[in-house]
Amino acid sequence: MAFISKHENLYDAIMRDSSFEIQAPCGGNHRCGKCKIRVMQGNLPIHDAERRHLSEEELLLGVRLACAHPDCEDDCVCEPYREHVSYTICSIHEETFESVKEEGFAVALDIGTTTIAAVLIDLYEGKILREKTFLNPQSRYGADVITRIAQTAKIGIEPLQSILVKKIEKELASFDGYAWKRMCVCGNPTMMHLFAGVDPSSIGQAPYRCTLDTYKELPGQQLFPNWKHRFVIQLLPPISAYVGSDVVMGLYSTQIMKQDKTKALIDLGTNGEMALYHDHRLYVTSAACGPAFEGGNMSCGSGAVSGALCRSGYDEKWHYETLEQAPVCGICGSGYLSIFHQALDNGLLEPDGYLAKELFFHPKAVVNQKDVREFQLAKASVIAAFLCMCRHASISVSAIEELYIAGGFGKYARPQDLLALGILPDKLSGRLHVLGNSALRGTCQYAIHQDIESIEDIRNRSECLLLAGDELFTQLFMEHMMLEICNEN
Amino acid sequence: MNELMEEIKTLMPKGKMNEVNALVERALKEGVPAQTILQEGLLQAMDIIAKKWADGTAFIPEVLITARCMNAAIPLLEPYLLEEKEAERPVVVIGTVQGDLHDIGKNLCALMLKAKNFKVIDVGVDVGADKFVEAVREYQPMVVCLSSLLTTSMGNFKVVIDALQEAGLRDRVKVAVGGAPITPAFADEVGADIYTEDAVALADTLLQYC
Repeated sequence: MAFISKHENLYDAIMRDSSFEIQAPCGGNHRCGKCKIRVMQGNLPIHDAERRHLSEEELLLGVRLACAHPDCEDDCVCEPYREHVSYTICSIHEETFESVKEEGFAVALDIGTTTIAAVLIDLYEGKILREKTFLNPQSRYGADVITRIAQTAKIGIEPLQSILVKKIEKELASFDGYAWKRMCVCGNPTMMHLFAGVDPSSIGQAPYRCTLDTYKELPGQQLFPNWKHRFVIQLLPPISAYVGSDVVMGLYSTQIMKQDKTKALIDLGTNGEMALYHDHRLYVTSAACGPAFEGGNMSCGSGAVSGALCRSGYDEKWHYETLEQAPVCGICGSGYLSIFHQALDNGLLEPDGYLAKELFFHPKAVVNQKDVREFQLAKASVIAAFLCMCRHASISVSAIEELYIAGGFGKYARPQDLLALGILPDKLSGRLHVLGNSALRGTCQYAIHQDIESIEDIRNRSECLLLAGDELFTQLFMEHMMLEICNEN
Repeated sequence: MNELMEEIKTLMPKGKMNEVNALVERALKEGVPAQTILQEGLLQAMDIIAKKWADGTAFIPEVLITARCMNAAIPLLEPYLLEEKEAERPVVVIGTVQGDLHDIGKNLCALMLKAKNFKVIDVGVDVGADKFVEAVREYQPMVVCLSSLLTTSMGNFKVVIDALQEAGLRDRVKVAVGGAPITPAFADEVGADIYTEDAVALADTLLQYC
């Protein structure tokens, strides 16, 4: 709960209170309409932005947008407005790893822009004892890494670092009593910088470089003074500013370079990182495809939370499923894929993306024309980057023997939807392998084996492609905007 | 003649560059004035697609494909468009500000402006304030358009505007800003004169300044 005085800037006041749960994907720029709060006392008039973004029902409940009241019209008391309650993410819980019979415990941590996953490992048995997944509390400072970097320029690194570290400390309370020796951390470069308290601004400006660009160890007490046992924090290194240690650890876990085969890995998250291994070289790039696949920027978009529409079917009328069979609260990435695929097959959606009529499933699950356009941009960006990477390596798509799909979204997405919508080339049908959270899996393996030379080998053999401003990318991006099967060789 | 123009208008959104060029040449041979081919063929095709974009029935690829066809056909007409002197076309300088290498949105704006018969000087991506100042001094444009896709680089709009002020050029040129994270409020805050939501609206808005 927060108390705000008349004439105070409501958004700033709430941002100062780090215990107030709020999301602000666009960073308080009046664009996204997601920084919802509920006014319990006080009278705040309804602004245009609020009429645009909030439902009648929400307005009646006293829901407002924090960013719409820079000069608060009344003394008021606000509380967080929660639409989504529980969060599910793919689990690696059941797995065991080959161990080297070292005594003791370790923690593996994967810090994503949206979600954080942590596990406690028994090093001797190679077994996972505890697992925790939770939302990254920095979402109050923006949904994507660029918005968060821009925030650090305004308010400094400390608020973003401390809210993250405190949240991890709180969530890992159930690991207490195991006195782990080390905490191995991977994540995208921006998250790694913010976790370690290093200025990420060089990532946000051309020529886009990491300041924290090597493997680094910190004493546990430096970030977590409240934990009394001694442990070392191992910060895993990135390949480039947009291909982070999470991708490195994913590659490490697939052992992509161990066999002499042409293989690729793709993470369909916000940054769309991908890698291609061919002829002893590793080509890596990222296709800033935006958060569309994770439900961001979509009118009824939602993360993979309980109640998100995740599957659909059509026979004269629509039917659908939600995650955990909970009441509908929105549509998640795999839900959109399934809907677009069905709509395309049944002539409700044209291959050029024209949607004659909104698709209605539920008042909280509607697909409109703008959603299709957002999706087309994300889709075109992924396939264009993928084809660009192949051309750069001078291979045809059909030379790829296996394609691994990493990331939480990839876990729920069905390969047939990815192929039918042209997100991935049709030629790879039958060669797709869904991995789930390979970054966390790789980090667990590293926690056990501690073979930094394998990690360095991945980095040394990598060649990074920067797609912004690349002519071939622009051309492929335009050519693949249509929702149809990609028949590239 | 009308048939030829109709055919040009049908083929352009389909990206049939060679066929469109052939039709333009045929029309010239048959004695259709270059100005008519430009106005009633090429520019009308652009107008149709721009309207479709505005009402959500067309998308970036169709606009780009059409604009590319137009750009390919214009050089064929140029020798016949003598009466229209280069100096009379309004000039626009456009570029992506420092810290940002993204160019798809900026290129789209340049294409739409060319379609409205502006002379467009594209200074590229990751462009520093000094280079913008230099271009404004050299080309004396009516408007300078600044693009930024990244929240982290949009602050550089102000740097460019301040540099124009310092060089004593600010009151001689209008400044337009745009890009995904930009809002009208932000455009005001940095002291820009023009903000539009997309490339089609930009071209339409700049026409009003001619």
